[in-house]
Amino acid sequence: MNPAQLEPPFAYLDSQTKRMIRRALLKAVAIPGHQVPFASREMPLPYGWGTGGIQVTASIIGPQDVLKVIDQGADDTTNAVNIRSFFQRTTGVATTTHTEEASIIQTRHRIPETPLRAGQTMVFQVPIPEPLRWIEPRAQEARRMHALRDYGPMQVKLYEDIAQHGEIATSYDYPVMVNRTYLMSPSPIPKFDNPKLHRSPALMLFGAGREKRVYALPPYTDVKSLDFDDVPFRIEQWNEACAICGATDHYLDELITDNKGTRAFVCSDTDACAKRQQS
Amino acid sequence: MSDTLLLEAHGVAKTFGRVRAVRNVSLRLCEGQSLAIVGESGSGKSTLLSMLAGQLKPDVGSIRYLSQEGWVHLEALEERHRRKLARTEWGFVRQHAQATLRPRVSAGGHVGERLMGQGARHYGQIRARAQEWMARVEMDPSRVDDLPSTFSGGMQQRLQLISNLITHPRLVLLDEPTTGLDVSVQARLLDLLRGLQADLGLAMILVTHDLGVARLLADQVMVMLSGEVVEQGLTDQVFDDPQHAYTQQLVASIL
Repeated sequence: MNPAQLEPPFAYLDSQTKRMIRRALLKAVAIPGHQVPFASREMPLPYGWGTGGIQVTASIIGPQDVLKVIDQGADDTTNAVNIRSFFQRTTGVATTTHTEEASIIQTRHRIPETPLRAGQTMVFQVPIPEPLRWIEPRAQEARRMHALRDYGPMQVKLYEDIAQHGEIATSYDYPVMVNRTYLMSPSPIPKFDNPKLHRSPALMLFGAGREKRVYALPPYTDVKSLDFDDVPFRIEQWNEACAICGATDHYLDELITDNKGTRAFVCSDTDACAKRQQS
Repeated sequence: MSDTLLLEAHGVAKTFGRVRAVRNVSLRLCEGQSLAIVGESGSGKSTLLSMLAGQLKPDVGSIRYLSQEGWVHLEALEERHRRKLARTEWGFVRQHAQATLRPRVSAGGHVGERLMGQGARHYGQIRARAQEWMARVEMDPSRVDDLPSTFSGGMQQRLQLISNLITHPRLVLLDEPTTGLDVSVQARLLDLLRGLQADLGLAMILVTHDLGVARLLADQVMVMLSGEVVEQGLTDQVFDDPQHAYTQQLVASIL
C-alpha cells in the first residue's frame, strides 16, 4: 500500500467522495430547489446530528476558508462545538463565531441575523428534505408531483392549518416555492428566517445525510413562502425584547429562569446578541 | 341532451397475465348522457372504468375523449395532461369514500382541493365555495371545518361527490357509488345524483351491480359477462326485453 494513502485525507472524506458530492452540488445549483440524490457516507456521528451538512462542508471547504458552525443560532452548543472542532482537526482551517468573518457557515435551525454577503456559503443540516413527505408518503409519487408541479395538496395542508387553528400554524420548516418552480423544504429553520432566503447574495447548500439528498439555492434566487391571498405569510413577532442585548428585531428564545416559572426572552443568535451588547 | 360525442372506445381489451379482463369492448357516450355498466364481480366492469378514466392503458383498442381543447386519445395521453383533465373535466367517485378522503383534512379542504390544485389562493373564497356545494347536496355548511370521520357514510359519499363536482366536470365516472349505504341513504343519494346530472348536464358512466340504480340513473346500459359485452342498448329496452340469457337471469333475479 502506498504510504500516502494512510495519511488522513483533508476534511475527513476521501477525494473521490468529495468529487461525487461536488458533482451532486453542481447539479443542485443548476436546478434550484430540486433534490439531487448522492451516495451519503457513514460519518463518525449518528444520523440526525448533521451528517448531511458535514459531508457538504467537507466537500467544499479549502485551506483558505474560515468556518463558523451554529446550532439553534448558538456557536457554543454541543453540536456546534463538536462539528467545529471536527473540521479544525481534519482541515486545520481557521474558525470563527463572527458571521461576517466566515466564508462557510454550517447551520442547524437558523440563519444568522447579520445579513449575509456575496461570497459566503451557508450549509444547512436537513433531516427531511421532502416537503411533501407528510402529504404524500410514497416517495415515487412525491417525485412525480414535483416533476408535474402538482402542488395542490401542499396548499390543502395550509388550508387545514387555517381551518383548524385560525392561522397558518406551521412555524418552522415552512414550505417555499423556489423560482416559482420547485417546492422546497427550507430545513427546520423558523419561518422568521424564510425571508432571508429570498434573493440572498450568499450561496445556500442543503445536505440530508440519512435521506441522501442535496439541494441548493444559488445567490439571488427568488424564494416565496406559500400562503393565501387573504391570509398572507407572516413571521413571528414578540412583545418582549432580548433580556441580554435588548434587540427587538432578532429571533427570540423563551427561557424559564427559575422554579416559579419566570420567563425571559433572549436572542437565539449568540453572535448577533454579543455584537449588539458591545455597540 | 345534445348529440355531441364526448367519449368513444373502440375494440378495447386488457389482459392481466392469463386473465382476459376486458375483451373487445366498444362504446359511445354523448354529452349529458349516462351509461351504466352492469355485471357480476370479476366481469371486467372496474377494469373498463379504469381504462375509460385513463388510469390504465388498454392492450389493444383506442379510447378518445373530446376535451375543451379538442379530441385526445387516452392511450397516448401524457401524464401531465391526464392529471389536468382528471382534476378539471373529469370526476371519479369510488365505492368507499373513506379510501379517498384523508383523515386529517376537513370537509372544506377536500372540496377545495381541486380549486387549490388549479391555483386558487384565496382562503375565504375557497371555503365559501365549499360551503355552497355542501348546501347543494343537503349537507350542513357550518360543518365545513369538520373532519371526514365525523360524517356518516352517506355524508362522506356526498363529500366525495362534491369534491369532484366543484370544477364542473363534463364526465363523471362512478364506481358502485351507492353500494354499502343503507336503502334510505341510497335513495337520497340517487335523487341528488339525478338532480345534479340534470342541472349540470353531466355525462356519467356508472359501474354497478344494482339494476335498480342503473335503471334510475342511466339512459343506456351495457351488460358485461367475463370481460365481454353481452348486451347493450337503451336501459328500458334492455331491462324490459332482455335478449341474452345472462341478462334475462339478472333481470329475473331482482326480488
